[in-house]
Amino acid sequence: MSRADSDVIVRAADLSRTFAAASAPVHALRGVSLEVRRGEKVALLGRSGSGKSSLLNILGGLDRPTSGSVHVAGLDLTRLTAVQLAHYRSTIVGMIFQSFHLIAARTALQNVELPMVFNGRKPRDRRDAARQALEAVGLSERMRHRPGELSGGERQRVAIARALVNHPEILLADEPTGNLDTATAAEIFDILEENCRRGGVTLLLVTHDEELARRRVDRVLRMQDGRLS
Amino acid sequence: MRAADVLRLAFAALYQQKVRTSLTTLGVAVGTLVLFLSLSIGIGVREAVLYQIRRHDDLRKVEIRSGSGKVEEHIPPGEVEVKGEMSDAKRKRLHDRLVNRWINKNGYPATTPLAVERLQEIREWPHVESVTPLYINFGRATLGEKGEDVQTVSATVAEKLLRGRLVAGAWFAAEDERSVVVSEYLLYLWGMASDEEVRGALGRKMRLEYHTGANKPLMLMSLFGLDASMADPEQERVLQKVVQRLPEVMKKLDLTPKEMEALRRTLQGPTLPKMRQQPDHLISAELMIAGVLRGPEKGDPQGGSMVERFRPDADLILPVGTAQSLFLQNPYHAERGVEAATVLVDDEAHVKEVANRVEAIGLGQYSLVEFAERLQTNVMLLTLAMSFIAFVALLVAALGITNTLVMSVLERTHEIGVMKAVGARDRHVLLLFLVEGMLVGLLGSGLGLLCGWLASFPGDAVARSLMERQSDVHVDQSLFAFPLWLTLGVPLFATLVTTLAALYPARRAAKVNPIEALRHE
Repeated sequence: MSRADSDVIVRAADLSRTFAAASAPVHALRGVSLEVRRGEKVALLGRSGSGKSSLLNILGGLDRPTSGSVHVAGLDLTRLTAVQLAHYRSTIVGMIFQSFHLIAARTALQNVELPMVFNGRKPRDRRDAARQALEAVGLSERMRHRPGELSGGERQRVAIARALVNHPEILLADEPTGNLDTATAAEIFDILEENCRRGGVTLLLVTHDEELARRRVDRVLRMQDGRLS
Repeated sequence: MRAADVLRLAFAALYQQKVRTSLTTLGVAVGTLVLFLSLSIGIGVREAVLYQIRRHDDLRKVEIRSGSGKVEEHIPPGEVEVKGEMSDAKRKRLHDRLVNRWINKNGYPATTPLAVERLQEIREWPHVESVTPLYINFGRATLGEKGEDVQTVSATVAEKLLRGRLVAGAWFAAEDERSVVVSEYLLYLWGMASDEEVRGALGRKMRLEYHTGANKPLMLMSLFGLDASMADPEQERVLQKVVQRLPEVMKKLDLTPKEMEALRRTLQGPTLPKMRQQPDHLISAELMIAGVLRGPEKGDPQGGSMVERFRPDADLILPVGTAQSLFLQNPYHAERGVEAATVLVDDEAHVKEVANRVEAIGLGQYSLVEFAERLQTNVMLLTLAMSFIAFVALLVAALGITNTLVMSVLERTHEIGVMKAVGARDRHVLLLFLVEGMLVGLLGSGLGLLCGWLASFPGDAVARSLMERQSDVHVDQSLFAFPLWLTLGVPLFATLVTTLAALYPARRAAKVNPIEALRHE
């Protein structure tokens, strides 16, 4: 992918992902193609098992497609080495999850610092950046708390701070409000939206809240049986 | 990823599991403790022993004795020949008996006497620093009116062990000084008991007399079960007279000529042929009492050399030059030479060479080198055995670490997944777990080292008291040695083992699939 095409941040073509299983192979993705423009907010709707998470994992650099091509921010993810992929995860992409995936034994601040630990940032820089990120999600008062001492909404805010602390180009959110009540979900979505807008971050949101998706995003994609419809 | 962060994360993970970490660390500490102590005492004992031996140059000494060589070469062949038909084994057995009987009858043939010339010859050998003969003799020491039978020994000016027991006066300053050092016991026999009397003896002249040849009159006393040393001069004179008249008395006995001959042979005395032919004359010297020696005590430093062990009870110590001139006045001694001498070799490494050469010329030799080597081997074997046990203990502790970390990987799968999701490389995860193993090793071995060092003090006291109670050996330094290589090497080794023990769980952790791990909550 050429740099001239910088308007497009995600370009996937004919992606498929097959998992070997005992009985029969599971086809999670069956030839998915999509493009996402820089700064766009895209919602991915679909029932569970439709392949949304598989697509997100590939885009997040946690998994590789069985076939097809995928470029994110100009990088051919299928060609990156494991080390380059790890670097990609910590710099280009941020991810948040339905169940937050915070480390229970570490404080909010330490959790947000973690991505920077692995790319070797200086402790002081790291701490400042983490503080700023937590302030940006409105958690400046709870930095020293461990996840167990925070509410669901607060935990997701920590996760958002962690996902954005390295200033990624794209944020992948896998049902970020799925575990939250409606009011909190709206609040979290506000924070997501605000932060993405401010940082010019592209948002790819997996959800099954059709109402939320329709109101808040630029484009809605639907997924069924491993295909985009 | 920064090294400090690796350490911080590894520490945090260990700190989270305080009990488990403590127990694992304790395991490593015990293994290290045992390994450290067993090596430490092994080295310590070895050093203490070597120090003990080296202190008096004992490892550089070769004791030589007049050799007997091959006895049979000195027996006329016909005398020990076994006649008749029999197996070779039987012939050998009978032959050995005949040889023994010949020796009983004729005395042990001194084939290679340690004569003065031979000592001189050995002095010229390469690597030989000095040859000090030991003159041991029995004579009579008289101060004023009082005479006592004494054992006299020779000593050099440089002599250290005996000199350490001086209680009054001084040691000789020259090898040919006409002076002696006497034992406090001899002074006591002479009637001088108090410190004042002992000091009063210094500077006085005493007379030392040696008989050449056998003192037949005194020997006669043993017939009546009397101790020759009890004889007073009057008794001695009478006995002398009786001995001189014996041949005449014999004629009056009712004996056949054959019996008479046998009796004469008997009266000619024991088997020392030269001694027998020698007229009994007196060698005598006047010597000044230079110093007084106390008897040996428990805890006195000891020399390992056998020659030196002859000395502790000696009543009279003569400078070696003086002793030699008196000794050699006896023609029999001049020919047969001394019993023993000490050869000082320039370096321990050459002792074997000199010892071999001594044997090659038919002299007997004894050196501590072999003993020291054997001792070192024994200590080393013991240390090895103990270290092996310690090593097993450490291995068990290492398995404990592997187990703990494998559990930890299972428990922290989710955490590993999160770390990978936010950018941790496989190598980072591997490193984290390896460092956890390393930290347990460092902490445990540090603790073990500290405990070992603390335990060495009471341990040393116990071992020392046991040793002193059993063997009379007094050891000055600690039986536990802590050379730098050991103090650093043991914890390093323990840490290496624990780090290796972490390798398997660390690899498993590194291979965790983040997607699966994130599902694992």
